[in-house]
Amino acid sequence: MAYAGALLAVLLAEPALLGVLPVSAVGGVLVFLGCELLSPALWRKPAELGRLLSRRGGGTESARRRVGSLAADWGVNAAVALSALVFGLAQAVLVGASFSVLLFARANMCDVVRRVWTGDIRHSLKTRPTEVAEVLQREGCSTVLLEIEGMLFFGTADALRDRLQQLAPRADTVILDLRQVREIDVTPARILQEVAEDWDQIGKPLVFAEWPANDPRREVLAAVAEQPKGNGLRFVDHVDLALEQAEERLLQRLRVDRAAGARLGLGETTRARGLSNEELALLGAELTAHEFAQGHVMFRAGAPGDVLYISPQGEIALRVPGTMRRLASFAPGVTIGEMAVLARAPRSAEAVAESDVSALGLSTAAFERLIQQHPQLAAKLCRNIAVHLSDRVRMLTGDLSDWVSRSGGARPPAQPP
Amino acid sequence: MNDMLSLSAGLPERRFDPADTVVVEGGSAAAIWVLVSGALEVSKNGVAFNTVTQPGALVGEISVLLGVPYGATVRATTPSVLRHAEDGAALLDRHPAIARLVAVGLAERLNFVTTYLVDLKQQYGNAPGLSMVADVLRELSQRQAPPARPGSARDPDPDY
Repeated sequence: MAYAGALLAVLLAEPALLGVLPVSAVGGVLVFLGCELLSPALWRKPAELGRLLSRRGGGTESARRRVGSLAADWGVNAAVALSALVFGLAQAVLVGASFSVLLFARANMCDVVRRVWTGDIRHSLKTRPTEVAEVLQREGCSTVLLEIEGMLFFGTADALRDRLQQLAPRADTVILDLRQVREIDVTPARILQEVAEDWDQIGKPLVFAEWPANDPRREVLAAVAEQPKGNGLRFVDHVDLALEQAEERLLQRLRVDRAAGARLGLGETTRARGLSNEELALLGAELTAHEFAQGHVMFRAGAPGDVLYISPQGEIALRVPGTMRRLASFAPGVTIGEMAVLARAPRSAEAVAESDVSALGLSTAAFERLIQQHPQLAAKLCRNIAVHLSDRVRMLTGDLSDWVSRSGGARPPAQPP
Repeated sequence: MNDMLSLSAGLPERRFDPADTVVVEGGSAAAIWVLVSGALEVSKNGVAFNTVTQPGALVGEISVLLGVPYGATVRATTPSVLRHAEDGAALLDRHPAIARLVAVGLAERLNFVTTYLVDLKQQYGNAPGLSMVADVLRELSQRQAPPARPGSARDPDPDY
């Protein structure tokens, strides 16, 4: 900076000195500055395109869209830069504006529905008794979930309205998964609001999912809906919750009894597999009974744990700490909170009773007593816990490594052994 | 894991040179191995996805517990020493302290992988291909005990 400032001061004080600089040096500086003005995307995008095209599995719909978008961006950049060099700045602006209009028109013609699910294929994460799950499997096709992706303009929103009108006769509930919507303005928001009103009038919910409160895209839609005619907008924070609500409505309409299934005996739970009657009696003597009403938080993430729960009756959900997003839902018979007694570790997730839950608690002290007084029984318990954990670890790591090898995505960090 | 080293002190040791195979993907599983020193590479379908260097780390315990073939190939990448129990199931049945350590290790791994996937989903939620992560998390919820039926179905046409 000091050198450049000194040089500038000298040249301003005595411009004639510029004449002594070699023309080639001045030209080189000007060419360098010209290159600096060009968008870095001009030379970075081809490398990114090459990476995408060389990946295995790059023929998927998402990858093709990404490649197309990158190629279009690069083409516009190159055309504008070339026009500026050959014809001049005004012509380059004209070329850029023309391409923008063309790309905007093309974006409006795209189908924003990335994927369509029906409720017989895609369920909520809430665990159901077998007979209820079978009803949902049989009748769930009246719930439709549309995954929306891209930008919502008047063209794409209008196409979406047509799609929803076609669904109206056969669908009781439509859920729009809007998480991957990149942009929405007033016109498509008004179109969606009108569609929601239409659905409300025929008594069928149109649910807008994955736009939580304070999401700017939701605020655009809500602002339109606050006009005098605006009503009937149903926002649900997560698709999983929207699916659960749709299932509840369907079960209510079909008058299906959603009560929890029969209570399992201790010997039928995963933790007690392989135990003899004598061992079951020893274990039973160490267990304490707990009752949790539906919605009750059984424990919170980070809380010190001193008891594991075996659930002979009722469903339990694990939630991502700090959110309402469900991570998993467990059927009767499983155990949660193992780390509390195995390693005296704090709770790593939040557990919530999804229905009225009857649980049997094994405290850390009772577990230590079993290890001291009945080591074979304790070994079987540990092994049963390890089998359950192994199944889940194997599935997760297997799928994760498959994903990494197929997508060329970031390599997962080494796991703690 | 140093606890595992002390608990497994009575097991026989075996030395591996670099590139020597400890277990082969798809091979029948009966033995559990304990890493004493050295470094191991874990690969699946020919793609390396993990390295193990922590003394006391276990190899093969998941396959033994579930009674399924080894899910990955493990090779030494440096001169390594491992202890092994030919009958891994019997080892777990006889030693509650080892069974407990195995369960703790698995719970830590499960928590780690789940947290990693949740982070991945939250961080790159809109990236192409990451729908797979949602599918994996959905699949996690299906791994439940009988008699209840799983609550969700796997994507029949996954992108990845």
